[in-house]
Amino acid sequence: MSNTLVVPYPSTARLRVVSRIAAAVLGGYVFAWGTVAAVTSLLSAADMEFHDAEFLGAMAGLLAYLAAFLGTVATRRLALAWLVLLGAGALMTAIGSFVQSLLT
Amino acid sequence: MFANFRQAMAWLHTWFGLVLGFVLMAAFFFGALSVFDREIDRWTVPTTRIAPQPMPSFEQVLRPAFERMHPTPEAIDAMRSRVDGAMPQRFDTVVNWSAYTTHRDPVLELYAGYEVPNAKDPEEAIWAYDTIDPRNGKALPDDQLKIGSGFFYPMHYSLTLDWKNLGIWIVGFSALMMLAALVSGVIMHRKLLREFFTFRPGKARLRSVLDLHNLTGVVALPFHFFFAFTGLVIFASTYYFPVGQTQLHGLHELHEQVEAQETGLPHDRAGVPAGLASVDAMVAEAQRRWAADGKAGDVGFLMLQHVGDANGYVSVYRAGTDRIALVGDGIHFKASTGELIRVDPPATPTGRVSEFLTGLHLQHFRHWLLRWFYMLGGLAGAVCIATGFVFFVEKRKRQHAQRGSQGARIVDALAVTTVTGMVLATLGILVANRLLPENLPARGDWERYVFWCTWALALLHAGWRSAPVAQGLANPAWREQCWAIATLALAAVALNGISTGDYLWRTIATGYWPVAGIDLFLLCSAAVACLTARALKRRASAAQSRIAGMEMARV
Repeated sequence: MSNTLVVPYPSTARLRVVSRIAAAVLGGYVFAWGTVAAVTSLLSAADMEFHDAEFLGAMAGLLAYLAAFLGTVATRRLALAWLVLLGAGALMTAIGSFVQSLLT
Repeated sequence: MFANFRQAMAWLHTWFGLVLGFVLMAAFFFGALSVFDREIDRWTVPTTRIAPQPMPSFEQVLRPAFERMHPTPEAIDAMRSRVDGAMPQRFDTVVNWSAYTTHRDPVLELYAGYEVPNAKDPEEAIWAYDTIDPRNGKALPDDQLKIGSGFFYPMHYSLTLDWKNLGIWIVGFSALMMLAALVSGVIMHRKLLREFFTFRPGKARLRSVLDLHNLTGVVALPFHFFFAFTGLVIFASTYYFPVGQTQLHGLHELHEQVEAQETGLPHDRAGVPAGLASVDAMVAEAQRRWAADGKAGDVGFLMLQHVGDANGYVSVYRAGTDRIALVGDGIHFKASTGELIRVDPPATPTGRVSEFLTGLHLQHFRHWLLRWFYMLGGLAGAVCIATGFVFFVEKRKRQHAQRGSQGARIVDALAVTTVTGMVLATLGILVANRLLPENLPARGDWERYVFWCTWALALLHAGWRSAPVAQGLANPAWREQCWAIATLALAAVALNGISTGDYLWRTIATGYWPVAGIDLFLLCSAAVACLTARALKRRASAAQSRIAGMEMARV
């Protein structure tokens, strides 16, 4: 299993590993941030107390980060992973700001 | 890149576990020590070796102590850049006074915040800190490093890398990877239940290391998962996803305004001077109300907001010694009259979950057996990570030796530094604490230097002795550092007795367990280190003679 990776691999393969890790770490963070923003704002809109909404948002964000991270490491389609993480992250972040603008 | 999901998980487990294992080791080890942070404080600050005290009288003890306080020149200097124009030298408007204690604290920590007239952020206060003896209000030397709560505890969550909260981010990312390692570890080994009961110490080296790794990982799996997760949750909204302070700041502000209206607790000063009614009477009233709800009545946190102003109020919070959830049950009074303003309502269901999760991680409750289980759980996590390192090295070192690669050698030296080196550094700071002169200026800084220097020496030693690993043999540094651990642990116990007179037989005879417990733990550590060193020695001799035998056969 991991032994195969100890052998030095060509630079394109190495670049793919770097891209995969970057997608998992950075893309995962964007996705998690979006989750926190969307969940927090939507629960606030549903009349939940702000700190409760913030707490549930943070929990959802952490679990989303974990799932996104594991999924991105395992996926065969790295480009799609980048697209989904950044796209969904940005979309959910926008939802957060939009819901806030309706409430304030 | 990977043939299947399990292979991807194995890759993740191996490489992220290796790189971040070094951080996780520190988080687990210092977390385990932080379980007894107050007791370590007693060991390291001998003048505070007294029994825990309840929150003292405000009128007789706290008020004179608060009135004595003033920001230090260092705090004033640090604030200078965040002020428009000249920095004031005196601060007379008190934003708040507060005092904090737990059921394990013989000393009381006081905090005072003052308004800074021309601060760039008008909400920012300048702070003063003090530690007093609650029996008489006498100030205790506040500049002595409380090594348990002031050094090991921050090591646990921030590695004491305070620059831009870098340490908190590193530990947080490592905690996320701990969760990933647990999930991927479970996916790699599907025979979870069987591994729960499997330990084959006599089997081949590799097998028993892996068994121990799986055993400590699986037995404490809920513990590890829970602590990594709640640790992240505790910091998430403040550091990792500060959404409420940035993107959703508007929503947060809206909530603050609504809350100020609902609670009736004034957000700002009125600008009208006012007196202070008896705070002791307010505390007694709060305790009467808790008792009526069937809750233990120790005060954990007492705060006076807008001191000396007509809008001033007093908040009394309960010390949550009788339940897991970190609850405050705050009761608030008008400072000038003592009239009740508000009783915090029972938490919402979500709030209760949050209180439970943070309470279970931070353990303010009084339950010594559970406290020991936390400690053992933390050490099991450390064993799990340490055996992970050993497995990584053992699996590769012969291959690497044949190929002439230095990979296993480097990882092994780093593992020595993180495992035995970290214990050495910890013992180093304890020994330094007992050896440095009592009134040395900046004594706490010297103690910290000793800690980091001991750790650096352990790294140099591990690297210097690592050559055999490149030949597929064991690094003798493991064994030698075990002997060093035993020596330093015994030295720490002896020095504690010599420098304070609190010899182990005396502390046991008088039942002063904070100090006796740490001495006993140090003695156990010394014994374990000796046994480990001897076992490693036997193993190294066996390997030596096997190689010698092989060479004989070749001749």
